[in-house]
Amino acid sequence: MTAKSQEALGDSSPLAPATIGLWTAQISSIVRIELRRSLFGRRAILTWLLAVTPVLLVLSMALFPPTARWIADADVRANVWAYLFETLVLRAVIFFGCAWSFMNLFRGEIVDRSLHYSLLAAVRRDVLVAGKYIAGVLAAVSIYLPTVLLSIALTYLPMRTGDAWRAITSGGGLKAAAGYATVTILACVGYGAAFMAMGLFFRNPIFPALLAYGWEFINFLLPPVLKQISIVHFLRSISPVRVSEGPFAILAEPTAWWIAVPTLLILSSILTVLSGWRLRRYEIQYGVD
Amino acid sequence: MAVYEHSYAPYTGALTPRWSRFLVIPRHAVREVFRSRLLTGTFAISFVYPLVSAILIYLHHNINALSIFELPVRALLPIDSGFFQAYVSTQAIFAFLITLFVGPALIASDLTNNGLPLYLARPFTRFEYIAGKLTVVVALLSAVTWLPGMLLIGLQAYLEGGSWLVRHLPLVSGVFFGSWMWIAVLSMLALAVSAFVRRAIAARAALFGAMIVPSALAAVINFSFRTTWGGLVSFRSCLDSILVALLGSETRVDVPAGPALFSILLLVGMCAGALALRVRAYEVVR
Repeated sequence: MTAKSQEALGDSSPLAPATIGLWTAQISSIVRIELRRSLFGRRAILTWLLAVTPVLLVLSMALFPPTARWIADADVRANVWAYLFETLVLRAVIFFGCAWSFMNLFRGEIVDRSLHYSLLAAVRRDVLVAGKYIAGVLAAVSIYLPTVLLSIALTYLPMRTGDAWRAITSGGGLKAAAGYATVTILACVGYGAAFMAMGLFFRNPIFPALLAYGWEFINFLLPPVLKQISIVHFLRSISPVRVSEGPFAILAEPTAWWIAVPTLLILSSILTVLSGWRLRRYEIQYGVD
Repeated sequence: MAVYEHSYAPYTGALTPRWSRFLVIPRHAVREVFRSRLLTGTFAISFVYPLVSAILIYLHHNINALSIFELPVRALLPIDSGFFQAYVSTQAIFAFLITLFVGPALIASDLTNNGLPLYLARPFTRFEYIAGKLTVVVALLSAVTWLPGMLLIGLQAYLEGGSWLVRHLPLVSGVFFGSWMWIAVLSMLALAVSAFVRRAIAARAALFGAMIVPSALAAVINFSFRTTWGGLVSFRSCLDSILVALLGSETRVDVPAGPALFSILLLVGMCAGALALRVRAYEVVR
C-alpha cells in the first residue's frame, strides 16, 4: 500500500485521531467498566472478606482488650497495630488481595474467554492496559484504605473521647494514619503492577506469585543490596513504626522516603509499560491459555 | 440413517467391578497431570530431600565413608524425632506445591464445562466421583510424603538393627499419620476450593491465600492477645502441633494436639460438606 493510499484510508477512516483526549476518554470508560467489576463482581467477594479481617480483629481487641496496658498505653497500641499492619494487612491481605484482583484483570478474562471483546474494540492495547491498571488501583485503594483507616480509628475505641481526640490531633495519631494510608496506597500501586504483569506474562501466574511471596517473606534475611529488590523493603522504609524483624534479621538502613516513593512509582510504571508491550504482541489462544 | 431411526439396546458387555470404578478417574487424570513439565520438575525436585536424608542415614553407619569425607559422626544430624519432623515438614511444602498444580483443576474444569452429568449419568455415584478425584491428589502426595518416609525408616532400621525399630515405633506412626494428616487436609481443601471457585486459576489463587492468610492471622492473634491459641486458625500450625505430638518431639508448638486435631477435623468436615453441596449433576437456576 502506498503512502498516498494510506493517507486516503486514514482520512476516510471512521476512527477518531489518536489524541490524549481520546485516550483519556477511553481510559475513563475502561475504568468505569472495570471498577464496577472489581468492586461488585463475584470475584470481589474474596477481596471484601479479606479486607474485613483486620477490622474484625482490631474491633475484637477494642471490645476485649488483651491487657490493661492496651487501654492505657498509646505506645503499646501503636506497636501492636504496627505489627498487625505489617504482618496481616501488608504481607497477607494487600499482597494476596492484589494478587487476586490484578491477575484477574487479564488472566480472568482469558479464562472467561471474553478478552477478545476488549481487544476487538478500537482501543490501543496499551491504553487498555493503562485503563485496567488504573481501575485495579482505584478498586484496591477504595477497599483497603478504608480498612486501614477504620482499623486505626478502632484502636482508639477503648479510650475516653477527649483522650482519643488529643491522641489523634496532638499525639501524632493523624500523622501516623497518613503514613499508613500512604503505605497502603503505594502497596496497591506496586503489588498491582507486579501482579498484572505476572498475569500477562505467565499462563500460571500463581507460581511466580508464590515465588514473589517467598522472596518478600525472607526479605529480613537478605543482605542490604538484595533487600532493595523487593517492594516490601520500600514499604517498610516509609512505614511510621518499624516492627522488629526478629533476632535473625540482617539489619539494613531504611531507604529515605524521597527515594522509596519515587522508586516504587517508577517500578510500577516500568511494569505497566512492560504489560502494555506484552499485550500489544499478545495473541489469544483460548484453548492453550 | 437418521438419528431417530436408530434403535438402542442396553450395554451388555462386562461391567467394571463396583469397588474399583473410582479408579477410572485417576487412570486418565495422572496421565494428563504429568503433561505439565513444571509439575514433573517439581515432582522430581521433591525427591531431593528424601535422597539427602537417605545419604545422611547411610553416612551415620558407614565408617569408611565418614573417614573419606573426614566427617566426625557428631557433625552429622542425629537420626531422631527431630530428623523425621524436619523431613515431614519439608515434604509438606512440596506436597502443597504439587496440590497447587494438580488439585484446583480437578473439579473446576468439570463444573465449568458442565461435565458432571457425563460422569453421573453412568453407573457412577457422586461419592465415587469425589473418591476418584481425591485418589489423584492422594497418590501424588503419598509418593512424596509417607512412602519415602517409610523407606527412610526402613533404611535406618536395616542399618541400625531391628531393635531400633522396636524402640522407635512412635516415629513410624508419627511419619505415617503426620503425612496422612497433611494429605487429607491438602487434598480436601484443594477439591473444595476447586468445586467452589470453578476456575482453576482462581482456585489456585484461593488455595494460595488459604495457606498464607490464616498463618498471618494466627501470628497477629498470638502477638496482640499475648496467647498461643491463635494457631488454631492456621491449619499449618495445627498440623505441626499434631506432628510434634505424634513423634513425641520436644519442639515448642502453639496449640495442644487435641484442640489442633479438632480444628483439623472441623476443616476437613467443612470441605466434605462443601463438596457434597457442589458436586451435583444439575444445578437448578431460578
